[in-house]
Amino acid sequence: MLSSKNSALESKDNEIFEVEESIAIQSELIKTMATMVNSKAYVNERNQMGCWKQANYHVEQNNKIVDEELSDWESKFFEVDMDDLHELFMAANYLEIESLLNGVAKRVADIIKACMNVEVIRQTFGINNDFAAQQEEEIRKLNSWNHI
Amino acid sequence: MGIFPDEVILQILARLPVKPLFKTKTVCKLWYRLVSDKYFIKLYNEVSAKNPMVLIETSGSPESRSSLVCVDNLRGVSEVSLDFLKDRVKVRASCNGLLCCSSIPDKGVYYVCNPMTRDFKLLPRCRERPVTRFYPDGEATLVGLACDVSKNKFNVVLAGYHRTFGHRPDGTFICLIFDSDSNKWKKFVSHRDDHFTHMNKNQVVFVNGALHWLTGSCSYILALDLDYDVWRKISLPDEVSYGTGNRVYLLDSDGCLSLIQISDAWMNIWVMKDYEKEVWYMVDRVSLRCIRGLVPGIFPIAQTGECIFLATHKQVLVYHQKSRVWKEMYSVKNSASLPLWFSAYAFRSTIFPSD
Repeated sequence: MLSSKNSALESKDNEIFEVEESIAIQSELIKTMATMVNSKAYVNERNQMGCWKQANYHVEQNNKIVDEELSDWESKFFEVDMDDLHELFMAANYLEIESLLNGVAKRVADIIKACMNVEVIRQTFGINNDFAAQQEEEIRKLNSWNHI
Repeated sequence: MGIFPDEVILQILARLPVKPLFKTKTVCKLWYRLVSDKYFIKLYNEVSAKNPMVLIETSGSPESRSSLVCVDNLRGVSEVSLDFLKDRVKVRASCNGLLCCSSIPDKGVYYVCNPMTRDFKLLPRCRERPVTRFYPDGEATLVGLACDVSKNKFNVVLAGYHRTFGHRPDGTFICLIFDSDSNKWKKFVSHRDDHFTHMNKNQVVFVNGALHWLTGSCSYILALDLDYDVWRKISLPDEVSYGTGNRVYLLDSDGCLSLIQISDAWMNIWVMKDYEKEVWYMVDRVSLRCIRGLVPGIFPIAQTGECIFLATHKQVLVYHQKSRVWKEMYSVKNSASLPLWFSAYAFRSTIFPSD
């Protein structure tokens, strides 16, 4: 597979698409699986395209982007809804693409930072409050401005 | 939305500043557990180690005395207040997320605090008379803070020349060391004849279990080994010792000793990659052409392998090594204030497990 310049990758919904080798090896997983005959990625096609677009951007920029700075392109790239962010994260995690992991983590952290209070965080992430009212108040008091 | 796996939640929360991070403790029991865990604390500190910051004491009106300006590579400029100390203080040293401050009204009173979490400790008074017998002005010549994040402990060092009552100073160098584990001070004495410039005193570096200060003559670095309570000397690269017309500063670079050498047109960055063998490598040579006008009054304050923060009288600049780009991060309009570099300290955000 690596003898030609392109790698052929098959997605979960059986779409096959070619990715240039220098981009494919941005994924640690693909790199290690390169010797295997079948390398099915367990990610749906739309988000796999997204992953490769992002990896492609990085290769084009010759990794000139300072890791922590989200460029304008990337900011727009991550302006998707929570479900897509979730899929991107699962894809980046499974495929082991560090720049993408970093970008999604930062984007979700920014979403949390923008939440006015804890209830908004719960709503955004669909989390149920499993604290008893008293417990929650105790923790809030203990940690109101002090150490973690 | 499907639930993120725990490992992913940890990566997200590790990128939050401390205040919003506190909020997440009350979101649900899982998040409370994750954030209180020692593994998360280690991860948080590793992520923030890559984000260098600069803290500056501004000389404004007395009301704003307890307020510091914080310049953050990722998040820009903000204000950090030390009002939780309930005292007027001066910052003396910064190390791995902790600050050592001395009380302005009460000589000999020291605090160690985490300005991000507002945790602090008032150090017990050192009983020894030498605290007020330091020569020439009763203040310790050297104040060092050694914060060991992995061992969750710190040491404070006060060192200086001593004058016995009724006598002239005789080169006796007293060293007082506070240990947070024992909560006690200890003292040892040696003889030294070093002198230190203002920047030498502000820029103490803690790496490899020792505190390091550049000496005023720029002939060597003075190191205090905290495991064995001994002073030793570390040589500078020949090009630095014998280079004339250069200004030299000692900084930390990702856990290694680093020397920044500034001439009219160039900034050379040296890193001691091999501490055992004391070998220096010049890792970068930066042209100062585009900031030519600022060069005489510019001082390096903080760095990582990827960027370096410098301060002038009125500005804080950052230079990114990969992209070779200079950026202004902060500037003041008030020209009557003390220069920014005068009280600027390298800083990073760290959290510690609650005991």
